[in-house]
Amino acid sequence: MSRSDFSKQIHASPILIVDDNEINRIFLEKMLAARGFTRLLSVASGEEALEKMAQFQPEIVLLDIMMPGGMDGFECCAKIRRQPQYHDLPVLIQTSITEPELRVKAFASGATDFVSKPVYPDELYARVMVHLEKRCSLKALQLYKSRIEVELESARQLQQAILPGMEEIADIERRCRLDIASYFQPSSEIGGDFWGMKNLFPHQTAFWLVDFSGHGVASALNAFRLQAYMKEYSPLAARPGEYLSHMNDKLLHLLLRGQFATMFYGIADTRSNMLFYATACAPHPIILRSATGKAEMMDGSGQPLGIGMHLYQTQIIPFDSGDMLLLYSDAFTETPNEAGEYITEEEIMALLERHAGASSAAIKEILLDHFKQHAGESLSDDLTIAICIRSAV
Amino acid sequence: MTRLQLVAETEAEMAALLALFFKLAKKLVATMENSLDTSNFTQWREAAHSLKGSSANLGMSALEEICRESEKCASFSREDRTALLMQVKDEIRNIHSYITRENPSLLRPEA
Repeated sequence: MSRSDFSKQIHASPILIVDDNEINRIFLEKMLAARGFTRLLSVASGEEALEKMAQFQPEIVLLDIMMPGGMDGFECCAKIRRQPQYHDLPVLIQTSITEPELRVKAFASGATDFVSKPVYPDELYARVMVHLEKRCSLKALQLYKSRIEVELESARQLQQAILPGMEEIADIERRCRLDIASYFQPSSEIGGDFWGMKNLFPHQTAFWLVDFSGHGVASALNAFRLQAYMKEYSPLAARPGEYLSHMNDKLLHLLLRGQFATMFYGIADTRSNMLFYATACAPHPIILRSATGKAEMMDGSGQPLGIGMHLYQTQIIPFDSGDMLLLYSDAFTETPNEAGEYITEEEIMALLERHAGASSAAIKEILLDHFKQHAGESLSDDLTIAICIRSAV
Repeated sequence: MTRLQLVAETEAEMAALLALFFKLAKKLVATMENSLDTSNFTQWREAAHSLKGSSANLGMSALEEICRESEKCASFSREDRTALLMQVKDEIRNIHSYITRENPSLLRPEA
């Protein structure tokens, strides 16, 4: 809104004048009209003011204190304030009262400010403008905030939509004999993490977890872009190293300086009992071996996506029936507690070993409880966890 | 006149405001007068307060001051209040005389 539009809006604000004295009302009306205010309503009593407020919807009230024959300004002000819609309405008491205790009483009744009597045009204008400008600015900010909240909520829903849904997860679990659980919590309304999975062949299921640098809108937009490229390059999806190399080439030309992404991309092959995977500086994935009950930290190395040319290599490790794969974003291991300590990979492995044999859902809860005990409820970065257990034959 | 000129751009507007003032003053003085016999201090104080507000707005500082005193002395004796009321009436007459002398066109016949 331009300064001129803002000024027009302020001068069109409805102003309610409450004063039993006709001459005072005339003075206030004329002084305000002379300064460009166009919506003025004068009433002679507190009762009439309260009656007219719902219809007139004032943006500011100029209220007299002593009004014989009915409620005084203190009572009127308190009654205005008792209505939730007028909690923030500026009520300016016009008074010649100089006693501090009466001024305190006025504030206790809910008055916002005073205008001294007899009223002088410059002072009246200055005080009215201060409060109307503040009110209009706050309203504009509230409108902006509401609009942003609606837009961020839409973006959040879109982001949720790119994550695997319950039906999709259940379908892959059934067809591929997997037990899958996940958690995604952006640190603000939307975030730069996402995970996903896709059944490439009856015996091959791809899993990925991506974490863009930073969080919030920019990271989320990058996450959407990468998601689109991943769909475009699906023919390469069965070759993790090549797949990541192509994603890197794409992001290299797209991301702004300082932006990058870490990524794990792996394929669980139930025929060969192997996990084929490639990583771009991902937090160390962890495998919990069913046969031994021991956890192993996988290689998460590789250059982050989007910062330079790089050829990513496909690595292969066994992934037998009953084995569990844990993927997580760096928020899990890089969020300090109050003492400045971090959750270590060794800590995670020990936790998994203690709960070997538990379902993916149970492991997820155990990990989240551990994280919340460590860092509390609030997140400073987006947190994503994905757990995949090969069902025992 | 300076205060009047703050809100009245034309002589007609000034005349209308003055006419309103004298009409209200007449009514308020009558109220104060009535309250003398009834010992209705609230009525006296409210009338004095209202007249104080009007006179202050119109820049009639002498009348404003008498009214301020009257407002404070609501519970004074009948004699004291009678004396104050006399001062109020005298000052209103002085104002009227001043306007008649300096700018008679501002006074309408009914004022």
